[in-house]
Amino acid sequence: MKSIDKRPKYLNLFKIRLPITGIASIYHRISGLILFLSIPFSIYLLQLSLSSEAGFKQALTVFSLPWVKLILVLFLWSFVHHLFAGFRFLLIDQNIGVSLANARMSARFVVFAALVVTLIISGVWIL
Amino acid sequence: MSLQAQGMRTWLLQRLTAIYIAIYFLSLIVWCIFNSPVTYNSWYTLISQPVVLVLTILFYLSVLIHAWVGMRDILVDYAKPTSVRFVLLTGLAFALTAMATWLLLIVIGLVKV
Repeated sequence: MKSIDKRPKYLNLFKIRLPITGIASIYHRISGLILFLSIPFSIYLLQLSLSSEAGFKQALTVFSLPWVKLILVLFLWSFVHHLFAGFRFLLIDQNIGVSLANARMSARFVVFAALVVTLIISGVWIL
Repeated sequence: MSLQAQGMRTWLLQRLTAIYIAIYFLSLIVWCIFNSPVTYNSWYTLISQPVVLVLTILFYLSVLIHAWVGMRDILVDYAKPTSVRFVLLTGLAFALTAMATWLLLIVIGLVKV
């Protein structure tokens, strides 16, 4: 189909200002992609940790490497945000919090809470 | 809405797998907290129980199905033209099936006959 629409496309990602509900949504997508990438690592670690006593120790020491910790914080944020935002979507499916005001409030809560929980867990267990 | 509708089935599958993934993962975290520090023996004993093995297979099956639906959504939205999307979707299906097979091999190794 040939487009006759001459309106300029304005898709500079750094200029687009998403509303908070849009931010919660695109983070849900990005965190989902990151979690997808983490699946093979999780299977590998499961295999290693169950292989032998030495394998189990090796799986634990992987976590103490600085650059692994950094990736782990990213995976952690992805998991927490995906969980919270997913729970929010399930509530919206049940017609809970559908109004614009409530949707904005819950989106703000999800984005903020995911960051706070990630920082707390990172501080206690990872770093 | 009929469950015969393709999109409705996918929608429901995505939510059911999401709930199962959340329950399994959070349960595992709670177990780790109550059994801290986790040792090789306690970890191996937990996972190699037949019930936990089945629950773990279901967990990964849910993860892989959930990933298929989610990644497919992303590819359908951004991967253009259709030929590129087709190649990426095929690669995705291959990767997910490979991961399922890998997990199955690990689990088979844990089953005591």
